[in-house]
Amino acid sequence: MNLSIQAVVGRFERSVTAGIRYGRREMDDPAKDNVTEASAHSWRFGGDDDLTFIVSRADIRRYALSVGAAAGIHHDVAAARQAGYRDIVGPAYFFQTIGTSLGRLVPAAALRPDGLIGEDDSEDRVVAGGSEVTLGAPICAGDEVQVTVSEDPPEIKQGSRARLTIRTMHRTYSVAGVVAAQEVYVRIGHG
Amino acid sequence: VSTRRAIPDGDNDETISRQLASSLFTPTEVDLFMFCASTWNTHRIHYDRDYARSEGHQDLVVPGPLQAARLAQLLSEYAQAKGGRLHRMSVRHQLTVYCNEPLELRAVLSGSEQRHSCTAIEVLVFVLDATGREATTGNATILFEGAGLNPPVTLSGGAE
Repeated sequence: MNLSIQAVVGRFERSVTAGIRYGRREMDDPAKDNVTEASAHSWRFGGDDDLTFIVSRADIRRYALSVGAAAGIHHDVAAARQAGYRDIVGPAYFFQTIGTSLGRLVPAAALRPDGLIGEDDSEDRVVAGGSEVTLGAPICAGDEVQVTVSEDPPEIKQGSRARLTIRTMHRTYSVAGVVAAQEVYVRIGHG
Repeated sequence: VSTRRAIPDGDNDETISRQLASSLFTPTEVDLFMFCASTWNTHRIHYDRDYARSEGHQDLVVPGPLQAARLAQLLSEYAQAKGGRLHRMSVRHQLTVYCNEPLELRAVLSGSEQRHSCTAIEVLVFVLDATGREATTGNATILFEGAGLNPPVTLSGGAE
């Protein structure tokens, strides 16, 4: 995909404006509670390109180093090809580098004081609840990963010390139509 | 919050034979930085100690996804070494884990079954904190492809 500088700047400006608007507008409208991340991201970032991630060798090497994956197939092209991969291959949970960043590619000024994005405004303390992952085809450098995302309506529970908001997100990562990973991620907000 | 240990103590011979893999990991500030940077995790509880404490945490919080990723890596490397592959994993984070706290990651065999063209082994996974409490628990499936393939582990015989 080739983009002119003007197109990139225009897209960035749209994302800044929409990203700042998003937090209040969506949270103030209960009917939007079950808005999918796919539609939210399209609206915020101005195009479906935001759900496409082109994987670089640096992406894989960085992630591999961050999870202690030292095998040559994650770092050395020759070793990866010798093992039958088309290029260096991501560790098992490489999809995290895509999923976690979705919706967070905004300027620092658009983040809440806790560093999360505006849509989390109703929650004071947010922690990871858990995940369920099914792995498919490997993801290699050079792959174009398509992500489909959706979010269940938030589940509200009364905890022992605070109200809990449980958000469940579903993400599917595919390469050339073949599923690489399916992820259900649960995040818990207190307050 | 569960603080009991669901897995038997290590002096149980059966447990030792069923333990597939384990590793020790003490996440430092650098580990947290590298993981948050590579996943663009901007949540301040992972890199701003003062902010984390203002939320009531005793220190920087180790991301749950980092614990899951480390468990997945442990299983994936075990599986690849045995000619299999990690197929699925489900985890639940039970306790908050903090920076510089020694953790033990464990994978314990819980069952196996023959499927159409492969053998599946079921695994329980744990992240234990320094006091032995279960910070993260879950289960996973490792597949060994190929009809008639003998898996490298059996419930009766334990891990090779």
